[in-house]
Amino acid sequence: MMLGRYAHNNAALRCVTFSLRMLQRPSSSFSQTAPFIYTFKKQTNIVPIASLNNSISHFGCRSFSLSTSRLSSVVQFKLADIGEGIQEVEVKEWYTKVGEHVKQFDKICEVQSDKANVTITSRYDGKILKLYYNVGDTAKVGEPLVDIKLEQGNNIPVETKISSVTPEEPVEVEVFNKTPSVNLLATPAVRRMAKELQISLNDVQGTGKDGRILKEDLLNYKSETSSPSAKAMSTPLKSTPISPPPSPITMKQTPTIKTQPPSTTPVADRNEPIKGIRKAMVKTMTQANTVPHFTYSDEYDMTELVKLRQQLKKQSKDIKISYLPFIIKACSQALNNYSILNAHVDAKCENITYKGSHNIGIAMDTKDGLLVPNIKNVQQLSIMQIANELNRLQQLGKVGKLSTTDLTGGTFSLSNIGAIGGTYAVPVLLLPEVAIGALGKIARRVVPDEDDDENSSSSSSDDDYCSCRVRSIMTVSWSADHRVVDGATMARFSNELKYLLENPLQLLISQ
Amino acid sequence: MQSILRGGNRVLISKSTNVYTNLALERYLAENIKHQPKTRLLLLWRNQPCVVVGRYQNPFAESDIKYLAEKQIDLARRYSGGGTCYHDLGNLNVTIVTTREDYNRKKNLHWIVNTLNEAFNLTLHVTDRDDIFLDTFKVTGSASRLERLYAYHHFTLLINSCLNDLRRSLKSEDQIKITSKATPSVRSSVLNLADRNNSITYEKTIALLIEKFFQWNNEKNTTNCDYIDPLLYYEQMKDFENELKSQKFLYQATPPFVYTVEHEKQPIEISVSNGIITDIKGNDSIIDKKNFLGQLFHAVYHNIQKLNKT
Repeated sequence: MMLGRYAHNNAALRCVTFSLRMLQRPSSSFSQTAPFIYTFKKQTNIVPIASLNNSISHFGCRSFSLSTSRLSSVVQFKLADIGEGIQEVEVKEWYTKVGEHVKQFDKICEVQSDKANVTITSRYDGKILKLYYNVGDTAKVGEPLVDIKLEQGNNIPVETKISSVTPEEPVEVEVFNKTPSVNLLATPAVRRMAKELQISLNDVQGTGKDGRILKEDLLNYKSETSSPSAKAMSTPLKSTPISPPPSPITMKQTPTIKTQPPSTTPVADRNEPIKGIRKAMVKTMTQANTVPHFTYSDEYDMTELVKLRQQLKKQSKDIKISYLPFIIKACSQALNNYSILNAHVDAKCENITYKGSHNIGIAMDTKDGLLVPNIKNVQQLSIMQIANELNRLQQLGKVGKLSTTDLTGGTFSLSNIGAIGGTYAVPVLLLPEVAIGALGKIARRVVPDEDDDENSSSSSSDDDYCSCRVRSIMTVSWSADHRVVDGATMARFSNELKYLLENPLQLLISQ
Repeated sequence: MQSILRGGNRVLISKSTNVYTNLALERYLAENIKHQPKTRLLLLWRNQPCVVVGRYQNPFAESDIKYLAEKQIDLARRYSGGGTCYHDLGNLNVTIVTTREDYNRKKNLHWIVNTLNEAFNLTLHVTDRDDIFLDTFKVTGSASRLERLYAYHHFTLLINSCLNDLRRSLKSEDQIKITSKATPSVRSSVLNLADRNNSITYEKTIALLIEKFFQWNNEKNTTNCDYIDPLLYYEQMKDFENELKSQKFLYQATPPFVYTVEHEKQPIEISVSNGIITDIKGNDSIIDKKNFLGQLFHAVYHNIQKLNKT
């Protein structure tokens, strides 16, 4: 009989089979209540010892352990839940040792978890038989801490918060399946049905208590042509921390066409509250969203600047200067003629403040997240000074030490996203500023030659064949507050900036 | 005397600024008050300049012992775990005591953060490690102790502490010389609240916390707030206070460690357990082990330092 076979495999089911057999054969050996002794005559299939051991170890972790302890009076005192979701603690000090007598509420040990020190007291009167950890070891919540031999005739261990299965449900127990790395709950009848229907229990979604697989689930699964929801549910029990190694029992399955997807275990989601810089971002971005933005993009020919920079590098090996300082200085110069872009508006957009200083902010990906420190008074600084200041801010950002002064007072911002990659973007304003630029990467591109004289025409035969050259092109996207800035202003500013960057000599002589 | 031990939502402010007295008071109140469920005790205190290490820390690895002795800065070990902090009169200590079941560190910290942010227009936030940060600076460190019937959570609040003294006191050159399983401190840059908002003072802060504490606990009886002079309870507290002051607790409760010295260019490893030097590994000819074996480490610390120099 199927039931009997399972009983061989799993000692925990013995109780069930016992009671059932009682109904059938009143003369069975009821007097033998010691666990793990088989009184059945036949073993109809060979059961590897490993599986038996699995069941035994699991047996010991469930509430059934209480019944065994009643017989032997040794209790495994487990580390109770400390709270705050803590799973592990470090054992710091033992207040007792093997052989010592403890009374209920005596101190047993001290554990520490991330700044909380907890004193663990005994729940029972008795003698310490075993300590499971040394000082400095990591103890897991829900696992045994000490073994206590109870005093004779004393309080029978009280049900604690640890065991989560009450003795009223002896039928529903864990039975090992083909791949018991995930615990499946199903009664033997359901298992038999699954086998007859040739359904692997791993693929069925259990809808019963604790994710138990019911007959209805099997029938539903069968009726589905494809079953994408075939994921086994693992029961979240507090007192079962040991996951048993896969049982070597193999169940025969007649080879059929595989209609189900490979059984996988879903990876748990990770929830975390939004805090710190990210929380600040939530606030600033939400506010910025209330401002109507427009974006204007263009391409700047940076070839001359590239050449200039290479020259500088050759001349002096230790000067490290990137393109950004040039761009920042050029922005400041262009802002002289378009001061509306270097302004602040108040929250209600009733007043506009034309800021005197050009405090240009540079968006940085720092240790703490996205921050925009600014370089003060760019209009008064030389390109070298800008480069040094930029470096200083970057160093501070790396270690998370940007000061408030560095982070406030900006009037105009740039994001050098191109350093990471990308071409066009739609940057979001950093309120209360009214303009922001996103610099794409400088990429080599083939562009058609444009003769300086008027002879070249943009029509007819020249379209099919024209000479071309390779230039370094940088894409730029500007966003501005459309309540106070119009497209034309932005475009003209961009053109001026473009002129300065494409003709860096102009930039240098106008400082 | 009995009335000091009644339960309910209460605020007590210690009149003492002696760290040993205050730590003893904290434990005494926590252990002896009849805590009622769903109520809290708020204890506010501050100390003269001192360094307080966590229960299982190594004071040599956490602070400059010589500097503390020179400047007469007290060194204390507290009963709760966690890291080391520097106290002075600009640093407010807050302890919240409840029943074991009502212990909730995060709630306490969020209450503080909300209260201070609202009143002083700050942007404090609570981190994963249950610290309170203002932008990237730490302003609070937490620690707790959970016993069977009660639990307390205490934390410091840097209002206008002397940060230079703080840094100097907590600088330890011995940190690299020591290997042990003692709880290490996680160091952070610190900031005073008054640096961000210079209207914040110690007096204003405690007044604010007292007022908001009763609101937080929905307590209509706001008279349960007293100044307490721990000296009046000296008899009851003296066991704790003596333990806290004792060299034994201070130095010998350190978890076992190995202190490495370089003497005449060779390394010497000194093993210390329960504060006593149990073993010395190193070239026998260059060190007279008799002088050190079996001695209390902190007692011969000065001589050990001298070894390092030669």
